[in-house]
Amino acid sequence: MDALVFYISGILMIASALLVVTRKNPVYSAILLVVFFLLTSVNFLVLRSPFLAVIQVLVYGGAIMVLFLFVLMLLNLTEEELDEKVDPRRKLLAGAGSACLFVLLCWAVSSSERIRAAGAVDLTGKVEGKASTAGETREIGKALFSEHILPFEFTSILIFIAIIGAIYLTRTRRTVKRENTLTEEPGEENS
Amino acid sequence: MSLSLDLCLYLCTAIFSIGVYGVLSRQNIIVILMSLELMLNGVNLAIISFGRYFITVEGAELSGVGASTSQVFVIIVLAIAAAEAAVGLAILLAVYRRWRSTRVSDMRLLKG
Amino acid sequence: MDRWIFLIPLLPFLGFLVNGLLGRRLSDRAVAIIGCAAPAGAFAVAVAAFAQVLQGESSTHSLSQELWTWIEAGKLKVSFALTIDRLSGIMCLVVTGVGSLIHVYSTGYMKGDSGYARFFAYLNLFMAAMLVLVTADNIVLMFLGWEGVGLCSYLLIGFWYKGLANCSAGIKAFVVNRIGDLGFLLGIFAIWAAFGTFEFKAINDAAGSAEGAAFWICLLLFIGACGKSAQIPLYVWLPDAMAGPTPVSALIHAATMVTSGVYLLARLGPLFDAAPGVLAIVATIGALTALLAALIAFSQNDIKKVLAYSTVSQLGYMFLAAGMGAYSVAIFHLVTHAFFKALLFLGAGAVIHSLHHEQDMRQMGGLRHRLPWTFALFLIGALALSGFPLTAGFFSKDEILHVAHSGLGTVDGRTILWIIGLITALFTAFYTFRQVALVFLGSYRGAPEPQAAEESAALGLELEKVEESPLSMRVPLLALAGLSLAGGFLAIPHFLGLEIPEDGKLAGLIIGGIVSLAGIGAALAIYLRFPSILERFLASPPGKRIYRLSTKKFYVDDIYQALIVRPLNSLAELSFYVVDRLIIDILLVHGSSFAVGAIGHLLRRLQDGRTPTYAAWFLLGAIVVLGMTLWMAGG
Repeated sequence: MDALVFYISGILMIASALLVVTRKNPVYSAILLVVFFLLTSVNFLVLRSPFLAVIQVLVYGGAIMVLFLFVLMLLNLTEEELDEKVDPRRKLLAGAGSACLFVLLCWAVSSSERIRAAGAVDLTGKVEGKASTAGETREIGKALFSEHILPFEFTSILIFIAIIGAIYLTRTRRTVKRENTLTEEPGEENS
Repeated sequence: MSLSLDLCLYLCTAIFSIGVYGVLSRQNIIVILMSLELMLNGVNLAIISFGRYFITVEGAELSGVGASTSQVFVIIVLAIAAAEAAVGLAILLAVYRRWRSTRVSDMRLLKG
Repeated sequence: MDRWIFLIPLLPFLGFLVNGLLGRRLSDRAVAIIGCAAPAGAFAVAVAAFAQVLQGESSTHSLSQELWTWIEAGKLKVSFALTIDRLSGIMCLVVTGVGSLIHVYSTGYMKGDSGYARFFAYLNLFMAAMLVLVTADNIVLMFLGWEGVGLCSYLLIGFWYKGLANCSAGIKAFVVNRIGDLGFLLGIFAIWAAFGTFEFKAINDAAGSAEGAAFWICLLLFIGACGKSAQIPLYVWLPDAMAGPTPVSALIHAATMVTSGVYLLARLGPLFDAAPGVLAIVATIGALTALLAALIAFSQNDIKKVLAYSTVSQLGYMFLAAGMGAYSVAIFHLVTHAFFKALLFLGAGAVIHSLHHEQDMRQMGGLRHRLPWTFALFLIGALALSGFPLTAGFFSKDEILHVAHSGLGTVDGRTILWIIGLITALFTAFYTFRQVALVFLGSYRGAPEPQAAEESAALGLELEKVEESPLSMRVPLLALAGLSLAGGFLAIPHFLGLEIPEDGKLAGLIIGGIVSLAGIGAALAIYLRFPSILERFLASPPGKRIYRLSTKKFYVDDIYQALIVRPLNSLAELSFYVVDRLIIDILLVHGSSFAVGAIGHLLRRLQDGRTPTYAAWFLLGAIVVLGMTLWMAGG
């Protein structure tokens, strides 16, 4: 049953991804990307990672895509600016390249002994024993703060730096003209 | 019906390749950044699939903490993707203010 | 005395350095003193060295001095080592003795020339190189001297370099020599291959055991000797070399350099003895050269050209002797020839000097009245050359004819060569006294006719203005004349340890004397008394043909020009236009710069500063790496 959900969402993911990269209007692309993230979240649920599913929607959908849309609104691109005027040769080459890459990667996947052998395992099956709690929030929390504390800290520093960077990069440079609202003599009232 | 690892991986490669196509063929920087997010998501999916596979196969011996490695990994990737998107868009804004263009071909100061 | 041998080549070399570097700032007198003191000093040292060698126990006693190791590479070792034994001692004495006399002569002859210091510098350098050549104890060092004298020959022939003909003559000498040098060099290589050493002593000792190799080695070395000593086919440079100043012709092209080839054969005598085939070739070529040159000398009108061909002819005699295995007889003739040929050249130089550089014998005549000393001394030289009884030339030439007739040791006498030698001796006497008659006897042809004094003022010098040459020129002539008369009694072959069978010697001497007298008499008779005989001969068809062959030098130069010079010139032009201009300049040089530019043009597209391009290259790289990894992992 779970597998079926995965298959359906998988197909929809591919469809939405294709649409994302082909829409002329970037807002359409953004919305479609949100759809994509939702579908990814579904996949995560199927793969027994509930925490991640939620985080995916929250962070990607709720923060990153909001950011994207904000910027798009800010840019306020006109019709003419939106027309990308891309050389069809380039699209062809890009398509060929990515198709090549896809083929090679699939070949890599299919030619690996272990992965073929892994085909027997049902990922949606039940897991016994200690690892049955894998994917639960508590376990992730524990892991994050014990075994993986170092990447955690570094990531937070990274985010901090990103904040500083983003703020700095988007400063406006114009000096603000300050009107002198104070009168000369102290204590004089504004009339 | 069962879900096997190689199917997951095929899906991931498909998404990744679509993302690559997006990066190469679009001129609008914002769309390129979005395609980049697509690629990262594909990778996330792959990581989760592998993690899930190992849990299923060897799960009995692993503790909960050990088994959450793939999740942690994805969280980190998520955070980094967010940071990267933020900085990327900030750069885009700065560039747009100066050159009034969002086309990636117009950003050629590195030439020569 | 061993320790002082090095002075022999060194003193002239120092003279070269001083006069060459400082000469222009020194006065002519200083230059002359330095220039003459150097060879004189070398002569003194040579005398002392030779005296000591003579006192040695055996006839092979020698003095040696090794100066330094010149080349050392693994097993190959060549040292700068000099040795004086009887053979090189005699050569040293001749070179330094006659050389010093010629240097003294040059102080008078070259007076007033703008290149006075340069002349003496080159002459001293020549002496140094020649002395290295004769005192070398190994063949590579000898080759150094060989090349050195070749260089100096070139420099001195083209001494008056402003004249194109002089420069061409110098080049011709050098190039023809070079051909011979190729043979020499190959011979050196062959010697190393066969003997593993370059030293003469070692080679000669081992000569008996290298029969097969000896033939090729000697043949190659003989080719080198032909170049340097002007034998067929490489003699063509010597007559042209008369473009140089007369002292140069005397020293280099008569007395010393051209004898290097003979010396080479004498030095490696035992080796040549092991190659009887080559000796036969040597003797034949020597005889033929002697005859050919004599035939050409008949018709020459330039006073120096006659002597040049005469030199070639006499060198042929030396090779004839060497070819019979009688090396010391060849050396004997070398020494006497040095005396009287230098005398003749210097005498001719005196005539030229007195006539203010007129060289055409048709403009001379009757000069014995105005130039009595020159005439007397020249006459002595002419008598020696012609083999007049009891002169030095008489003894040496007859020694050669004797060994040609009766053979020596293992070599049989060759009658045909003896006959050629005899005929050539007759011719030699004839053309020599033709020259004497034309220059000194009869009446002066250079004087303008009294009535046509105004137009013919350009023809020759008035007889009254012809004056005897200065003392600086006459004294050396005196010395050489004395040697030409007395030199025959030196008995050099015996000196060098050769015993010649005596039978038939007296008969040979008598025949030689008769032949010489006949030639002299015939020449004097025809040119003084009966010119009509000559005119009738020359008018007749065979006479005309012979005369033309003679004046055209048997067309040898023309043959060389057509067969060798012109094809080489075309090749050089082809090389220049096609290879140099087209292939190298256009194709390679411009082509490579163009290629670099084009590649740069192409590669510039890679770095266009556009991110999509870079991303595309990323992808390409990733695909390639991925593909290769998968392929190598066996798919």
